[in-house]
Amino acid sequence: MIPLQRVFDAFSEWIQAATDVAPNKIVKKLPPNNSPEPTGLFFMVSFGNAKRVGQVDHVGYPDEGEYLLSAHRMIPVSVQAFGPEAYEKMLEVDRCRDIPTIKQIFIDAQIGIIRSSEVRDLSALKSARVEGRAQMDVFVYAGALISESVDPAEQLDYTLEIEDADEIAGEIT
Amino acid sequence: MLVNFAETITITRHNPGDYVDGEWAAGAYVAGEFEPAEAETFEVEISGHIQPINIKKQGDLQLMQLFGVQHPQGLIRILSNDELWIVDKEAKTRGDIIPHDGRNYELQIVSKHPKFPPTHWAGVALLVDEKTAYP
Repeated sequence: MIPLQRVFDAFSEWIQAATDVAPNKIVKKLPPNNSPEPTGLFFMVSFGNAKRVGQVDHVGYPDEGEYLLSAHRMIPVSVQAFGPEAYEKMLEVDRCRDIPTIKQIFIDAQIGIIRSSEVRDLSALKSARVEGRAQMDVFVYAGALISESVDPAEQLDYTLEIEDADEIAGEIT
Repeated sequence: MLVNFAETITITRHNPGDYVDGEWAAGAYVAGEFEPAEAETFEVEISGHIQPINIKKQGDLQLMQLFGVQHPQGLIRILSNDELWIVDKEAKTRGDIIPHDGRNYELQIVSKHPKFPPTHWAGVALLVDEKTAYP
Protein backbone atom coordinates (compact mmCIF):
# COMPACT_ATOMS: atom_id res chain seq x y z
CA MET A 1 0.00 0.00 0.00
CA ILE A 2 1.35 3.41 -0.94
CA PRO A 3 1.93 5.19 2.38
CA LEU A 4 -0.33 8.21 2.00
CA GLN A 5 -0.51 8.66 5.77
CA ARG A 6 3.28 8.83 5.89
CA VAL A 7 3.26 11.49 3.18
CA PHE A 8 0.57 13.43 5.02
CA ASP A 9 2.44 13.22 8.32
CA ALA A 10 5.63 14.55 6.72
CA PHE A 11 3.77 17.47 5.15
CA SER A 12 1.98 18.16 8.42
CA GLU A 13 5.31 18.30 10.25
CA TRP A 14 6.75 20.59 7.55
CA ILE A 15 3.80 23.00 7.70
CA GLN A 16 3.84 23.08 11.51
CA ALA A 17 7.57 23.81 11.57
CA ALA A 18 7.21 26.57 8.99
CA THR A 19 4.13 28.35 10.27
CA ASP A 20 3.59 27.33 13.93
CA VAL A 21 0.00 26.26 13.24
CA ALA A 22 -1.50 23.71 15.61
CA PRO A 23 -1.81 20.10 14.36
CA ASN A 24 -5.60 20.32 14.41
CA LYS A 25 -5.41 23.06 11.76
CA ILE A 26 -4.07 20.66 9.14
CA VAL A 27 -6.68 18.47 7.49
CA LYS A 28 -6.59 15.83 4.80
CA LYS A 29 -9.51 16.89 2.67
CA LEU A 30 -12.36 19.32 2.73
CA PRO A 31 -14.34 18.59 5.89
CA PRO A 32 -16.30 15.49 4.93
CA ASN A 33 -19.79 14.71 6.02
CA ASN A 34 -20.42 18.08 7.58
CA SER A 35 -17.63 17.95 10.12
CA PRO A 36 -16.80 21.60 10.75
CA GLU A 37 -13.78 23.24 9.19
CA PRO A 38 -11.13 24.40 11.66
CA THR A 39 -11.42 27.97 12.88
CA GLY A 40 -9.02 30.61 11.59
CA LEU A 41 -6.18 29.78 9.24
CA PHE A 42 -6.00 26.13 8.30
CA PHE A 43 -4.16 23.97 5.79
CA MET A 44 -5.40 21.11 3.67
CA VAL A 45 -3.08 18.49 2.22
CA SER A 46 -4.66 16.40 -0.53
CA PHE A 47 -3.31 13.95 -3.06
CA GLY A 48 -3.57 14.03 -6.82
CA ASN A 49 -3.23 11.37 -9.50
CA ALA A 50 -0.47 9.00 -8.47
CA LYS A 51 1.76 7.88 -11.34
CA ARG A 52 3.95 4.81 -11.63
CA VAL A 53 7.64 5.61 -11.80
CA GLY A 54 9.03 3.60 -14.74
CA GLN A 55 7.16 0.98 -16.71
CA VAL A 56 7.21 -1.93 -14.28
CA ASP A 57 7.88 -2.29 -10.59
CA HIS A 58 11.09 -4.08 -9.75
CA VAL A 59 10.81 -7.49 -8.13
CA GLY A 60 13.73 -9.24 -6.50
CA TYR A 61 13.76 -13.07 -6.71
CA PRO A 62 15.92 -14.55 -3.95
CA ASP A 63 16.41 -18.33 -3.58
CA GLU A 64 14.93 -18.20 -0.13
CA GLY A 65 13.40 -15.63 2.19
CA GLU A 66 11.00 -13.22 0.54
CA TYR A 67 10.24 -11.83 -2.88
CA LEU A 68 10.47 -8.07 -2.65
CA LEU A 69 8.55 -5.72 -4.91
CA SER A 70 9.47 -2.04 -4.82
CA ALA A 71 6.54 0.09 -5.94
CA HIS A 72 7.52 3.70 -6.49
CA ARG A 73 4.91 6.30 -7.29
CA MET A 74 5.06 9.99 -8.08
CA ILE A 75 2.28 11.65 -6.09
CA PRO A 76 1.26 15.24 -6.70
CA VAL A 77 0.42 16.75 -3.33
CA SER A 78 -1.73 19.85 -3.27
CA VAL A 79 -1.08 22.04 -0.24
CA GLN A 80 -3.84 24.56 0.32
CA ALA A 81 -4.32 27.27 2.91
CA PHE A 82 -7.56 28.96 3.88
CA GLY A 83 -8.10 31.95 6.09
CA PRO A 84 -6.25 35.07 7.19
CA GLU A 85 -2.75 35.47 5.71
CA ALA A 86 -3.12 32.27 3.72
CA TYR A 87 -0.79 33.47 0.96
CA GLU A 88 1.87 34.78 3.35
CA LYS A 89 1.84 31.55 5.36
CA MET A 90 2.08 29.46 2.20
CA LEU A 91 5.11 31.51 1.16
CA GLU A 92 6.64 30.61 4.53
CA VAL A 93 6.00 26.91 3.87
CA ASP A 94 7.61 27.19 0.43
CA ARG A 95 10.55 29.20 1.77
CA CYS A 96 11.46 26.52 4.33
CA ARG A 97 11.41 23.60 1.89
CA ASP A 98 15.16 23.15 1.59
CA ILE A 99 16.15 23.85 5.19
CA PRO A 100 18.10 20.79 6.46
CA THR A 101 15.65 20.12 9.32
CA ILE A 102 12.74 20.03 6.87
CA LYS A 103 14.73 17.84 4.48
CA GLN A 104 15.42 15.48 7.36
CA ILE A 105 11.67 15.07 7.93
CA PHE A 106 11.32 13.76 4.39
CA ILE A 107 14.47 11.65 4.58
CA ASP A 108 13.14 9.98 7.74
CA ALA A 109 9.79 9.36 6.04
CA GLN A 110 11.57 7.98 2.95
CA ILE A 111 9.88 10.47 0.69
CA GLY A 112 11.63 12.46 -2.00
CA ILE A 113 10.51 15.92 -3.06
CA ILE A 114 11.00 16.17 -6.82
CA ARG A 115 9.78 19.68 -7.44
CA SER A 116 7.21 22.20 -6.27
CA SER A 117 5.11 24.68 -8.15
CA GLU A 118 4.70 28.40 -7.66
CA VAL A 119 2.66 29.64 -4.72
CA ARG A 120 -0.72 30.74 -6.01
CA ASP A 121 -2.94 33.33 -4.39
CA LEU A 122 -6.49 32.05 -4.86
CA SER A 123 -8.27 34.44 -2.52
CA ALA A 124 -11.92 34.63 -3.45
CA LEU A 125 -15.27 35.84 -2.29
CA LYS A 126 -17.06 33.82 0.34
CA SER A 127 -20.43 35.14 1.42
CA ALA A 128 -19.62 38.55 -0.08
CA ARG A 129 -16.33 38.84 1.83
CA VAL A 130 -12.87 37.87 0.71
CA GLU A 131 -11.42 34.66 2.14
CA GLY A 132 -7.67 34.32 1.84
CA ARG A 133 -6.70 31.15 -0.02
CA ALA A 134 -3.40 29.93 -1.37
CA GLN A 135 -2.25 26.75 -3.06
CA MET A 136 0.98 25.03 -4.01
CA ASP A 137 1.70 21.70 -5.73
CA VAL A 138 4.54 19.56 -4.47
CA PHE A 139 5.53 16.44 -6.40
CA VAL A 140 6.97 13.64 -4.31
CA TYR A 141 8.30 10.15 -4.90
CA ALA A 142 7.04 7.70 -2.33
CA GLY A 143 7.75 4.03 -2.30
CA ALA A 144 6.23 0.94 -0.83
CA LEU A 145 7.82 -2.46 -0.40
CA ILE A 146 5.63 -5.50 -0.82
CA SER A 147 7.06 -8.85 0.20
CA GLU A 148 5.89 -12.36 -0.37
CA SER A 149 7.54 -15.38 1.15
CA VAL A 150 9.47 -17.66 -1.18
CA ASP A 151 8.01 -21.15 -0.89
CA PRO A 152 10.37 -23.54 -2.75
CA ALA A 153 9.17 -27.08 -3.50
CA GLU A 154 11.26 -29.41 -1.35
CA GLN A 155 9.56 -32.66 -2.34
CA LEU A 156 7.45 -33.70 -5.31
CA ASP A 157 5.23 -36.80 -5.23
CA TYR A 158 4.24 -38.31 -8.53
CA THR A 159 3.29 -41.62 -10.06
CA LEU A 160 4.34 -42.86 -13.46
CA GLU A 161 2.23 -45.20 -15.53
CA ILE A 162 3.91 -47.02 -18.39
CA GLU A 163 1.54 -48.58 -20.90
CA ASP A 164 4.06 -50.34 -23.09
CA ALA A 165 7.03 -51.13 -20.94
CA ASP A 166 8.89 -53.07 -23.65
CA GLU A 167 9.27 -50.06 -25.97
CA ILE A 168 11.01 -47.86 -23.46
CA ALA A 169 12.70 -50.56 -21.45
CA GLY A 170 15.95 -50.01 -23.33
CA GLU A 171 15.97 -46.31 -22.60
CA ILE A 172 15.71 -46.74 -18.84
CA THR A 173 19.04 -47.08 -17.17
CA MET B 1 -57.64 24.71 20.20
CA LEU B 2 -53.99 24.01 20.76
CA VAL B 3 -52.87 20.57 19.67
CA ASN B 4 -49.42 19.40 20.60
CA PHE B 5 -48.07 17.16 17.91
CA ALA B 6 -44.77 16.65 19.70
CA GLU B 7 -43.61 13.12 20.28
CA THR B 8 -40.45 11.61 21.67
CA ILE B 9 -37.80 11.11 18.99
CA THR B 10 -34.51 9.36 19.65
CA ILE B 11 -31.76 11.02 17.65
CA THR B 12 -28.05 10.28 17.30
CA ARG B 13 -25.73 13.07 18.36
CA HIS B 14 -22.00 13.32 17.65
CA ASN B 15 -19.65 14.09 20.47
CA PRO B 16 -17.69 17.30 19.80
CA GLY B 17 -14.40 16.59 18.11
CA ASP B 18 -11.31 17.94 16.43
CA TYR B 19 -8.83 17.06 13.72
CA VAL B 20 -6.12 14.59 14.59
CA ASP B 21 -3.63 13.44 11.95
CA GLY B 22 -5.73 15.30 9.41
CA GLU B 23 -8.97 13.46 10.15
CA TRP B 24 -12.00 14.36 12.23
CA ALA B 25 -12.39 12.41 15.46
CA ALA B 26 -14.54 12.79 18.55
CA GLY B 27 -12.52 14.16 21.42
CA ALA B 28 -10.52 17.22 22.33
CA TYR B 29 -6.96 18.46 22.75
CA VAL B 30 -5.90 18.72 26.37
CA ALA B 31 -2.50 20.38 26.93
CA GLY B 32 -1.52 19.66 23.35
CA GLU B 33 -2.47 15.97 23.43
CA PHE B 34 -5.58 14.64 21.75
CA GLU B 35 -7.86 12.74 24.08
CA PRO B 36 -10.50 10.74 22.22
CA ALA B 37 -14.06 10.76 23.51
CA GLU B 38 -15.53 7.60 24.97
CA ALA B 39 -17.76 7.19 21.93
CA GLU B 40 -18.17 8.81 18.54
CA THR B 41 -21.92 9.27 19.03
CA PHE B 42 -24.58 9.01 21.70
CA GLU B 43 -28.35 8.93 21.65
CA VAL B 44 -30.61 11.71 22.86
CA GLU B 45 -34.35 11.83 23.29
CA ILE B 46 -36.02 15.01 22.14
CA SER B 47 -39.59 16.14 22.05
CA GLY B 48 -40.40 17.15 18.52
CA HIS B 49 -42.30 16.62 15.34
CA ILE B 50 -41.12 15.61 11.87
CA GLN B 51 -42.84 16.88 8.76
CA PRO B 52 -42.30 15.91 5.15
CA ILE B 53 -41.34 18.46 2.54
CA ASN B 54 -44.31 19.93 0.74
CA ILE B 55 -43.54 20.06 -2.97
CA LYS B 56 -46.46 22.41 -3.53
CA LYS B 57 -44.75 25.10 -1.49
CA GLN B 58 -42.33 27.35 -3.32
CA GLY B 59 -40.11 27.66 -0.25
CA ASP B 60 -39.78 23.90 0.10
CA LEU B 61 -38.96 23.55 -3.59
CA GLN B 62 -36.20 26.11 -3.15
CA LEU B 63 -34.87 24.10 -0.20
CA MET B 64 -34.77 21.00 -2.42
CA GLN B 65 -32.83 22.95 -5.04
CA LEU B 66 -30.46 24.31 -2.40
CA PHE B 67 -29.54 20.82 -1.24
CA GLY B 68 -29.66 19.23 -4.70
CA VAL B 69 -32.47 16.90 -3.71
CA GLN B 70 -34.40 15.20 -6.53
CA HIS B 71 -37.12 13.59 -4.48
CA PRO B 72 -39.19 14.93 -1.56
CA GLN B 73 -38.02 12.00 0.57
CA GLY B 74 -34.52 13.51 0.45
CA LEU B 75 -35.41 16.21 2.99
CA ILE B 76 -37.42 16.42 6.18
CA ARG B 77 -38.40 19.32 8.35
CA ILE B 78 -38.14 18.93 12.12
CA LEU B 79 -39.65 21.08 14.87
CA SER B 80 -38.28 20.45 18.33
CA ASN B 81 -38.85 21.69 21.85
CA ASP B 82 -35.28 20.71 22.68
CA GLU B 83 -32.06 22.09 21.30
CA LEU B 84 -30.76 20.59 18.07
CA TRP B 85 -27.06 20.41 17.27
CA ILE B 86 -25.75 21.44 13.91
CA VAL B 87 -22.31 21.64 12.33
CA ASP B 88 -20.49 24.44 14.12
CA LYS B 89 -16.79 25.16 13.88
CA GLU B 90 -16.68 27.16 17.11
CA ALA B 91 -18.46 24.52 19.17
CA LYS B 92 -16.72 21.77 17.10
CA THR B 93 -19.97 19.88 16.68
CA ARG B 94 -21.59 17.98 13.83
CA GLY B 95 -25.20 17.79 12.72
CA ASP B 96 -27.62 15.53 14.59
CA ILE B 97 -28.73 12.32 12.87
CA ILE B 98 -32.50 11.96 12.85
CA PRO B 99 -34.09 8.62 12.03
CA HIS B 100 -37.31 8.82 10.08
CA ASP B 101 -39.25 6.23 8.13
CA GLY B 102 -36.40 3.73 8.15
CA ARG B 103 -33.84 6.24 6.89
CA ASN B 104 -31.31 8.52 8.53
CA TYR B 105 -31.29 12.27 8.00
CA GLU B 106 -28.54 14.70 8.97
CA LEU B 107 -29.50 18.10 10.26
CA GLN B 108 -28.35 20.86 7.91
CA ILE B 109 -29.92 24.12 9.03
CA VAL B 110 -31.61 25.13 12.26
CA SER B 111 -33.24 28.29 13.46
CA LYS B 112 -34.08 28.99 17.06
CA HIS B 113 -37.42 30.66 17.75
CA PRO B 114 -37.21 32.17 21.22
CA LYS B 115 -40.10 34.59 20.97
CA PHE B 116 -42.85 32.09 20.38
CA PRO B 117 -43.40 30.20 23.60
CA PRO B 118 -42.44 27.58 24.14
CA THR B 119 -38.98 28.21 22.72
CA HIS B 120 -38.45 25.81 19.87
CA TRP B 121 -36.01 24.89 17.13
CA ALA B 122 -36.95 24.41 13.49
CA GLY B 123 -34.57 22.60 11.21
CA VAL B 124 -34.15 20.87 7.88
CA ALA B 125 -32.37 17.54 7.60
CA LEU B 126 -30.90 15.86 4.53
CA LEU B 127 -31.05 12.15 3.73
CA VAL B 128 -27.77 10.40 4.52
CA ASP B 129 -26.53 8.44 1.54
CA GLU B 130 -24.29 5.51 2.43
CA LYS B 131 -21.98 6.31 -0.52
CA THR B 132 -21.22 9.82 0.64
CA ALA B 133 -21.41 9.25 4.38
CA TYR B 134 -18.05 9.09 6.10
CA PRO B 135 -17.83 7.43 9.49
